Formats: sequence, C-alpha cells, structure tokens
Amino acid sequence: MTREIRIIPLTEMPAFVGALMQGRKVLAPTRNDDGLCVFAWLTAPEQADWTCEIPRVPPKQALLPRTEVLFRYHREKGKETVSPPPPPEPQVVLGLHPCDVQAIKVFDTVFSAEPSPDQPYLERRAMTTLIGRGFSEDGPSTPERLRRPSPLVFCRELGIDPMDNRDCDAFLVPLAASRMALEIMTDKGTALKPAYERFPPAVAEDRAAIAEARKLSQARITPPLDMAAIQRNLETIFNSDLWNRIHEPCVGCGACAFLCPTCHCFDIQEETQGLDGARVRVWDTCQFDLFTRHASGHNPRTSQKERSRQRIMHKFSYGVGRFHIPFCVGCGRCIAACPAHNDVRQILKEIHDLPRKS
Amino acid sequence: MNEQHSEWQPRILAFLCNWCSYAGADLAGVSRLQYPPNVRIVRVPCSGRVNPGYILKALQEGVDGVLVSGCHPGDCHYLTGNYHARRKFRLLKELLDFVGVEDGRVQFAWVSAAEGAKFAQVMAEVTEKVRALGPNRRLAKKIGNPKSQ
Amino acid sequence: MTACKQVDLKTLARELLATGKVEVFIGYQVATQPLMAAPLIIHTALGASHAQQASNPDAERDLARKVDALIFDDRCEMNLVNYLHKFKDRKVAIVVKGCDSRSVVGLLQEKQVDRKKLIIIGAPCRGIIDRRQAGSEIYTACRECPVHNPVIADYVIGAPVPQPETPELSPEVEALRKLPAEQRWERFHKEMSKCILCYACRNLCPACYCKTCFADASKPKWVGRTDDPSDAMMFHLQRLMHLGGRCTGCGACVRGCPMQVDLRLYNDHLRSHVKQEYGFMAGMDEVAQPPLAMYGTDDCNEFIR
Repeated sequence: MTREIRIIPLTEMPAFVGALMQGRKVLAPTRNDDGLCVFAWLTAPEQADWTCEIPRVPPKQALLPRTEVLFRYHREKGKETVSPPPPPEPQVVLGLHPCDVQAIKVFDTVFSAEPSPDQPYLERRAMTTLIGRGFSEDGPSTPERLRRPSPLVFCRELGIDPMDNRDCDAFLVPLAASRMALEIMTDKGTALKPAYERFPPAVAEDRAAIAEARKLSQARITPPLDMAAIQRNLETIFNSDLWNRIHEPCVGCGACAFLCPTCHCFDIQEETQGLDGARVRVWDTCQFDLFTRHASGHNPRTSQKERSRQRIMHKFSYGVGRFHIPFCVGCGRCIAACPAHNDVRQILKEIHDLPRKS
Repeated sequence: MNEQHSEWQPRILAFLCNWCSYAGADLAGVSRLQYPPNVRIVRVPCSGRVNPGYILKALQEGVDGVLVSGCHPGDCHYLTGNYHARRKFRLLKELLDFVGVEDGRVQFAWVSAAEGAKFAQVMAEVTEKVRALGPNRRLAKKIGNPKSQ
Repeated sequence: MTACKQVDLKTLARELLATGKVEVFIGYQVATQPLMAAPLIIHTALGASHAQQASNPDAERDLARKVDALIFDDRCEMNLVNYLHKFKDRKVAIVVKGCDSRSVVGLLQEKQVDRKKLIIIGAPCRGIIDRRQAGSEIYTACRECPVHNPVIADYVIGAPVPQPETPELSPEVEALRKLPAEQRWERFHKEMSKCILCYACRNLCPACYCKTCFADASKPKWVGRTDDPSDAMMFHLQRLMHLGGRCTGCGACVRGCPMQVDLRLYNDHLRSHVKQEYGFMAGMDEVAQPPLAMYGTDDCNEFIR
C-alpha cells in the first residue's frame, strides 16, 4: 500500500542519493570505466546512473556478498579466540528492477527456510531498505530506448510486471519532464523521510500518470510460459536425451550463475595466515567440477551434462517443488553474459514443447 | 608508523636446489659465515622443480621476497633442469615486471656447493634489496590477516 | 595457406555429414541475441550409421534444418576449437577463422587432436564486429591480427582476404610498457578487481585443457575464491604463465569475459616477449617445438645472480 508519493526532478536525484548515503551504504546501478552497467557501492551520489536498465552485475552482493567473513580466529599457545564480524550496517539498494526485487524474494524464501534459517543473511536483510524502480515502455515520459524492451529481458513471460512495487520499501516511477515519483510503502521507506521530505508531494495529475503507466504495463502481461507444464515435464526427463544436446555448447564457466540475481549457492572456506584466520563464505556454482567433488575424489556430477541439467532443474523444478517459486526472474543476465550465447528461453521452450507422455 | 617500519624485518623465502645451492648453504654454515636471518629455506630437488605458482603463492601468503637458487648452467644434477628453469623464470620476471610488481621481489641465483661465501653474500644482497623495497603489499592477500583489515 | 578447394559451407556440411566422413560438425548459427552468432554442433543421427539415419525421416529433417542454419560472417566471434576437446575420439569437421586455425595448429603440436579425424574448414575473415561498441568497429585483437586467412585448412569457404599491415606490438601494450611500474600496477589491479572468477576465459581457451586445472585443485587449494584481488591475480598470473609461448592471441578470453577484463594486454606482452626472444609464434607450424618446452644454453642469464 502506497503511503505517500514525492516528486523528485532528475537533476535533484544526486541530492536525494546523497541524503540516502548519510549513515547508510548505498548500492545502485552505476557505469564502470568500461561503460558497463553494474550494481556497485556508491562512493559519490552522482555515480548512480538512471540510464541503466538491467545492470550486468545484479544487486545480490548487498545480501550475499561475494566474500563474507563469518568469523575470525586466532590461535596462540593452544588457546583459540574467535571473534564475530562487525554487525551489518544499514544499507539501501537503490534502483532495483522489479525482477531483481523478485530475486530477493527468492533469497528471502531460501535463507529463512526452516530448519536452518541463515542468521548472517537475515541480520543483513533486516538492515536493508529496497528502493525499486519501474520501467515502462509506454507513456510520454518513456525514453526512446525503453519503448522497445531489451530483447533479452523476459520477466513478463514469468508474470513479473516491471512496474510492480510490491515487496519494495520505496519505489521510483519515471515521469514526464525528467522527474521521478518516489512511492513510499513501508516503515523502512518512511524511515527515509529525512532524505525525501524536502521534495514536493505528488499532485493529482502525477498520481494519474503513475496509475496510467501501471495500467499500460499490466496490459502487457500475458505470460506465455506455462511454468506448471515446464515443471511437470522436468519431473519426467531426468534421463532424457535432451540434456545431451543442451549441455554441448556450454563451456562450463560460472558467468551465468555468478551474474544471476537468484543463484545463491556458496562455499565455506578457510582463509588463514600464520596463527590468524577467517572463515569466509564465497560464491560457488553448480557449473564447476569442484562444486560436487567429494573429499574422496569421487564426483557424482562427472560432466557438463549433469551440471547443466542441475542448473535448469534447480531453477525450474526443485525450487518450484520445495518453495513454490521459480528460481528465475527473467532478467536475461545469463543470456547476455554467456560466452557461448546459450539462451535459457530456448531451453525452456524446448522443455515446454516436449511431447506429453501418456 | 615510522617506528613500526624501522622494526620491520623482511621475510624471505628461498627455494634451494638439493645438489648445489642447499649444499652451498650448508658450506656457509660449517664455514661459520654470517648472513641475515631473514631467509627461510625450502629445499627442492632442482631449480627446475620450482613451479612459478610456488613463487606467486609465497608472495600471496605474505612473504616479502622470494629467491630461487640452483646449480650453475651446465652443472645441473639432472643435466638440463636449470636451463628449463631459466626460460621459465625469465618469462615470470617479464610478466611480474609488466604487471608492476617491484623489481627485486623475486630474485634468482646460481650458487654451487663450493660457493659458501657466495651463498652468504647472495643472502645479504637479496635481503638488503627486499628491505629497501619495504613490505610486500601488492600481491599479499589481506583477508586472512586481521592486521590488514 | 595451403592451396585447397573453395566450397560452399552448407553444401560441404551436408556432404560430410551425409557420407559419414564426419560424425560431428562444429560451426556457427545466428544467436538469439541481435548481432551475434552462437556455436552450432551438428551430429549425425545419434550413434546411428549412415544407412539407419537415412531411414529415419525425422532425424533427416532435423539434420537438414540444422545444416541450413549454418552461417559464417563477421558476427562469428567464438573460437570453436575449444570444442575439439569435447569430441576427442570422434570424426569432426570444424569451421575456423585465421586466428582459430592457429589454435588448431597449437593442439596438433601438443598432440591433443588427431589430424586424421579432423576436417578443417577455413574461413577467411576480415575481423569480428565488436558487439560492445555501437558501430561496426572490429575487435582490437582482429585489428591487430596477422592471420586473416587460416594457416591450415582442408577446405576454404570464400576467397582469401587481403592481409592488412599489423603492428609488431599492440600500441596499447607498447604504451603501457612505457609507464612507470606504479601505474602498470594500478592498471593490473584495476583489471583484476573486475574479475569474478567465473573462469570463462579459461574455459573458452583452446590452449587450456588440463584435466584438473590448478584453479580447481583443492588438495592443496592454489587459488582462493574471495573478492580479495590477490585471488584473481593468482589465477590470472598462473594462467598467463601456462600460456606463455602457447597463446595465439585469438582474443576468445577477452570477448567471452562477462566483466570485460582486458587479459589481452598481458597475453600480448608475453607473446611479444616470446617472439622477440625465441623468434617463435604460437600456432604457425605444427611440427615446431614450443619454446617453453625447450631451452638454450645461451639463453639470457643477466637477471640471475
């Protein structure tokens, strides 16, 4: 439920972002030196880039950092001391595409699942405020670039509306005349008041424009992907020949998984130096041989075939079966990043179109 | 900071081949020649056995300098091990120089079993060169070390 | 380039697959993304002999459809030679650009592929369009490519293309060499900080075929997986060493990197060192010995005490 709406001119966005940065870390879409859009921690408010649509690097680092120290230890004369990491700081993730918000929902579901909710994750999550951002192809305010949705994004086919503000604490909607509407939805959103209170509330005209943009966006939602059929088919094709073909072009790197906003597998490793050390959580991926290699040397997933299958199964079958939510949000990052130009949409289509077994 | 710096002692890892340089170290010892105590020795079968990865890993683990020492060209116990090593180390040196690792972090020497005096001298020179460079901060890993946090 | 027949890609593929001369055909097709080409791996009907295949109209139609999808143009950026490792014991035909053909030569030299089981289809190439730029600019590696025409081929598709003059050393690398060590380090640190350790560069590289890569070794662990840049440095420095005198400069690692790490700078530097020092160019002569597998009694000794 939207509590209030403020109007921020694009020229004033740095001031807004700067205010957010007071006492908080802010993760936002930025352009790096190579011109590549990535989610990165801001060091200056001007770095937030509103021309980025789906940044190559997802925002998952805010909640599942690439490297997270779980605790440190020191050993001396047979005595060990263990020290916890500093508690998480307040942080804002700014400019999330609604599909990235959906991905955080996947994280929340997985990391809070009984019987072993993930404490470091939940602590960090509690300190996190999500400010989403709408993308609409229609309406007078839409830049030319957005009129044609990025050819790789398929979130609508998974039922995600790029104007959906649910599950956000606050949400930005682009308006005509280079302005953004800031919708406040939750207590965490209201807590940002010092950052937004200097901006004027939306007038009836603005509210109408926002409602119109939402309506047009919703009209575009026609989920052509029958996820239930896909999941049903996946349950029967574990040993299918299909996997022989699907894995062939895959080179077995981890680009898709590391840049996926929903992939959350990790490894726990020791980083030691002399008598000191840290136990760290680092990203891992089912695409690597090492992921399933046992201490004995045995590996149940011996080839890329099993690993590629695991990726699809986990996203579209196991995730749905256990948590009733697909582990894919249609952001298209894996398609853009794949060095072999594999396309998960094609794989899904193939699985969907499999002849039904009687 | 300066005070700390003056207390700082470089830690140097030396890979010595079993047949020449390690025996050279032994000779330096029995001849009671003095050399800086900053060097820790790892005995290897041959300089050709030293994987460039060992050198890089040592630097990542925080040593301030690495020395690899083997038999003089033509004297290798395995005939050609040190020749192969020489090509490999040349490449490594080219690479480290190009990426900007300080010249002198990684050094090489030929020391024979008869050269106890040369061994002590090389150790002194290597130590001084590394001391002049200061602590290895570029390639050293920081995450496991609470002091670098 | 060895003199060989100019042929039509699809006709040739059809014939090779139909007559059973090859079991696997590795080429390119249009990717689902605009302005890109994806690999296309065509099998003769799975495991079936030629006769059986002809009797299966479904398989035949599927095969015909795939052959029709084959393309070659300035979008075909992948170095397909990497896939040869996947089909080691099979009879394979592969489409190679000039740069890729050098990778084949490299693998022949290192006895990783059986020439008798391999049909090489050369594709003269003027350069691949850099999809990161908006215009029709070709990749830097292509602009500086000394082999626009394949160095080894059984068949050739299209007429040979003129070979432009290329600099001995990439101007960018030359400029970097002239900077002080401090600034070279800054650049290296910047490139390494981008790396997310996905290993796409390694997995795309035809010359990277170790059964267990040092990066995948766990007893002991050589390469950490943290975001401390020293982990990425360990991985890349060791890989660069492994590729010394073996890298052909095809640029597959750079094109495939999702984070745009410019590994070319470092590979180019070592490649030019090897060429200058030992007069060796990787992937030009299948019977030559790679310089790092050899030694000279008169090699440079100046850097050793």
